[in-house]
Amino acid sequence: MFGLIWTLGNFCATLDPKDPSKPQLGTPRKIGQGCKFRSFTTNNYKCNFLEVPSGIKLVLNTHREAPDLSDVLQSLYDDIFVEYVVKNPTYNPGQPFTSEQFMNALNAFLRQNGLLQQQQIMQAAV
Amino acid sequence: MLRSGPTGARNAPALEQINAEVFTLTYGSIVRQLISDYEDIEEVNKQLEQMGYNMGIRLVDEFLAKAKISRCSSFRDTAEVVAKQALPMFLNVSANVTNWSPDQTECSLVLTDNPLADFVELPDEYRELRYCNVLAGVVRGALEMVNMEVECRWVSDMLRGDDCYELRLKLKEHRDEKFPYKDDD
Repeated sequence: MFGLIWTLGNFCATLDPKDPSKPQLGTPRKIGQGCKFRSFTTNNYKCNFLEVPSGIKLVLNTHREAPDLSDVLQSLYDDIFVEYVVKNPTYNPGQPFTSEQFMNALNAFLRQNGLLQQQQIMQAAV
Repeated sequence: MLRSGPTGARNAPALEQINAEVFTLTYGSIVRQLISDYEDIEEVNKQLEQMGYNMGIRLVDEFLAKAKISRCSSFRDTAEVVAKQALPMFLNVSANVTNWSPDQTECSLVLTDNPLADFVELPDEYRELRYCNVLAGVVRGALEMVNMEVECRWVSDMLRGDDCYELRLKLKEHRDEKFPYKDDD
């Protein structure tokens, strides 16, 4: 999945209509330059994506008819990831982590937003 | 009341606040303990910077969550954000960005007061001690997580008799996006 997101991101940056310098597809670009994609929809699912400047990528797969979830992802990062993961002293940035409180808060938040009925996978990757 | 970094409580939408004196005195006792543990001032400076680095890599996520700013387009922007948004948010002091080098990769953050060093007097045998080195580490750590490698050092320190606190920031490298996995995986 990382390769998919990375290549799509690269592709979007190349297509960026507002970018004054047009990078060629495949040139290394500075992290954060160019625009990112927010979601893509396939026949079976919709993948919502958010990347924060520090490199954390949030991926949320939902059913096809889900609305634009960028605000949800943003508040997920603000209220849940930062509170329960970043502030956890045993968390090393860049390493995989398991945190029960994070999972509970995450499930509660998604349930509140009515998103927990369908199957979803939540991953955080740097 | 001084705003300070994470203090442990959860579910706080606004930044937690901590008493300024508690913060200053706690920091002072940390430095004191480090001096008595290591005894070598240079080593203490290095440890303070390392502690700051470890804090910075985590603090940046909290800053990004609370400040809700988008990407900075250049190092100049980044320095402005650090001075005008990050420092006031976490330390309740504002800084000015001055002394830009001609190629825009070096600048100075000037602070007129520093809560870390309230009530502090440096005795003569600790003249080499960079008391606020933890701040230099925090800035370095935070900027490293947004892929800007910088070098931070203190050039003026009020504890040594200068008239302000000046932190020199030098951009070493702005890292490119790189595919982290090898092709043959």
